[in-house]
Amino acid sequence: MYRYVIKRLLMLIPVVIGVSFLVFMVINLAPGDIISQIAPEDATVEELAELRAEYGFDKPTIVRYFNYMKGMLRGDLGTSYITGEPVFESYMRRLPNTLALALASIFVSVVISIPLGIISAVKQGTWKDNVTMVVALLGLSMPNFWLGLLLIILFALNWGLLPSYGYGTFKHLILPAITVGTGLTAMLTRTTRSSMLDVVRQDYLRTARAKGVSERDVIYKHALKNALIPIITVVGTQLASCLGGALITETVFAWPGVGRLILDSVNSRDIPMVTGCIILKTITISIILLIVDLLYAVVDPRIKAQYAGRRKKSNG
Amino acid sequence: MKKIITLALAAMMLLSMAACSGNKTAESAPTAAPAATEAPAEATAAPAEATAAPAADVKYKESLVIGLKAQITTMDIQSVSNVAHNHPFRLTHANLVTMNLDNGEIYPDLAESWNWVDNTTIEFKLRDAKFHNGEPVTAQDVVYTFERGRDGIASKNKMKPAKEVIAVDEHTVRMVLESPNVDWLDTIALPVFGILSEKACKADPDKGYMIGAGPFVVDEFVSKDYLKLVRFEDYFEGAVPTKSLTLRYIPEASARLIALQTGEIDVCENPDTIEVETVRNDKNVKLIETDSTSCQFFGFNCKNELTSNKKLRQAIACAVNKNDIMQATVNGYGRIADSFWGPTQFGAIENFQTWPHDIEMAKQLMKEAGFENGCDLEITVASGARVVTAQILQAELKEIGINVKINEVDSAAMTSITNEAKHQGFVFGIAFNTAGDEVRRIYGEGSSTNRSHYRNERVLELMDIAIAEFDTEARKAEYKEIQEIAKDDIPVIPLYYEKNFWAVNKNLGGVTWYASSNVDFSNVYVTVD
Repeated sequence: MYRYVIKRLLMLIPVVIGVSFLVFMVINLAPGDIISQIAPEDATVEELAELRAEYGFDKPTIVRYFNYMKGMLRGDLGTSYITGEPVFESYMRRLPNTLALALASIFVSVVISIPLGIISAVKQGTWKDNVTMVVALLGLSMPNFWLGLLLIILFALNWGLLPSYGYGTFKHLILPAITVGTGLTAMLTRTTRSSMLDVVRQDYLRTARAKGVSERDVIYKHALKNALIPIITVVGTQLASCLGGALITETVFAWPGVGRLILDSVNSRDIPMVTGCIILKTITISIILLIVDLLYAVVDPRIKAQYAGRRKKSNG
Repeated sequence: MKKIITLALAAMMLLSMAACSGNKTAESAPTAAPAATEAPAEATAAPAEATAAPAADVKYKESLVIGLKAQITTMDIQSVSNVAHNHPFRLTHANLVTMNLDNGEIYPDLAESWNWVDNTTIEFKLRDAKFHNGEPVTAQDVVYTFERGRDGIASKNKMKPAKEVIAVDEHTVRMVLESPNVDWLDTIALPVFGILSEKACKADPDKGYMIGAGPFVVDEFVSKDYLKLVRFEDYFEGAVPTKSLTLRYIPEASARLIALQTGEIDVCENPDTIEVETVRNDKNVKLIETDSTSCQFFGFNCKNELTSNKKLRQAIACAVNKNDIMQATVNGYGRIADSFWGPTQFGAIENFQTWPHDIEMAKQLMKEAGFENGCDLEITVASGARVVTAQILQAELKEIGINVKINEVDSAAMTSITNEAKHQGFVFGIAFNTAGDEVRRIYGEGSSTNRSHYRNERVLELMDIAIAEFDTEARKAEYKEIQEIAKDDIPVIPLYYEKNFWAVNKNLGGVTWYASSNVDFSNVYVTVD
């Protein structure tokens, strides 16, 4: 398994190079540059040209990309053109906020969707199943900005129970987590249901029931465990996606996360910030997906056996 | 099954209705916007509010929060100059002189007096004042500030008129200008010339610039998020009423307004115009409405083959209905602009005679321009409300045979395209200050805000004459001539001046609401019932 982990981590190198190249090129191809954002209004056209040269914009994009990558090899992701702060510092300051929101949203999603998905599968075709699926469909269809504002009006403005914006306490986390978690819940409920439906009719469950195992144990100990692989995949993908930043929710709740940092930087053509943040985001997501892959082995003995088999083969 | 679905949908609708009905203000639909010609409600009275201090026995709320629509990215006052940053800079730093941004009157700040020695030399006498680090403000700090300003991105161009800045003694500063400059005091009243502590800046080049002599001290600053300030007890004008003031970035306008309504913040910058009536109907908040100096305009690239045709530009000016554009873009909350000039700028002309809205005249001018059968025109516009303006222009110009294609881009691209003269028509906005020489920004050769790339020898000559003209009436006549030439050349069709809205706690006072949006929160307070 260690070899597998190392191999996956090494695979990150070409991924990071590819991603950084694409991002750097695309943002440079877009019309407009940072100079128009940082230059004073009274700057003359000549002064703008001088500033461009000062920031290296007079050199070809490819040269600037290699200069950037040279810095990256030394662990320097660059400095923001706008704030003058190191990119890594800005990203790491926002990452805990994004992480908190991502984990809280996934928690909301898992706690609600797995029981609902199971009930829906076990009671397939009944009113419980239908209601669950309608609610899941609504959750998927609701735009986040609308749901966020709706929750703010209800819980902050009308009932005064929770803060309407900001971060720092558990109370601040509730509304943004529900907003992001609702969409995730809907998707995960449908995944759980479909995965459980595949499993509940298997012969080994019939055998378990014939042996007198209680229905609760059949579902939760035998069926759910085997239905978990697709669920873990979806949860992992959702977590990775949330770590990229929940842009709309971050905007509505003035939540200073990674998503907004990236968007603001794209709008102002802050190239080092955009490139650096996306590289860090890529690494974060790759690690999350690696952890998900490793979790498969924990949940499913067959996959664990595969890892073990590879090790024996390589030892032999 | 149908019943279940109906029930589920009904539950969702009830949830939505509950959200919208619980608070009375949330359900109030905006009523018709005021007519375009209506005079501003509080525009003239608002700035006086700062002087109306509450009674001595009144208690103040200790900590206030201001919800801003734009980010504060740096606290280095010489590196950026815009409204978003002027708010905090005015709180933390004091200048030599300060200015009433509505009428251009200059007042003492750190300089208790000044006198023009001759047309190019001015001397300032400093008062006894302290920086936040406890050091006294000296003439050497003033010299350091202005010399440092020669390298600041936002200040270096503004420093060009200054030949030298000299510390005559500890409390006297002499400035020698390259040439006579009537607007020099206006220039040094800008936040980029807040006086810095030389000692603090040299001791800590990364953060020393945050030390000023203003009413508030920087306690905590997280770029693009919030700035927390605490009261400076040794402020030379006496400690201000509020102990702690936080300026927080809340990007979403509705969320910002709700935060005010819930009492989490005390000031909400620029609620959406569609929510103006909601604010008016809320008993717990009040609406501050001021005329703005921000002019929205439709301009032409005078270097472009098509739009360099003066007759075509005049034809378009006659085809544009400014009222319709203002109604559609900002729900009518604005004032029609006749001249491309700041309403509070020196030299502004009341009731300037501009091109009439006259389709027949427009068609005649199209014929004279050589476009009897119409033409194609591309209008470049940044995403946002101005796209609506471009759409109305598209419909209006169709009447005179102009087929408009809208090129919607983001703001960074917009600035580059216009700087590089790759555009034909464009929709943009600019905020004017009070100085007459602001005209250089819009018509000056090589100015990056002369987005029309307009050049007229006589206009350039008049600008140079006016800046050195100490006779007020003669100077006004020179600026009038510039406006008349520009009306005829029409590189820009001024459309309207926006209105500024702020929603605030009903017990808030002490703020000076200037039309230029550069609001002064130095003495802000909220009284406790």
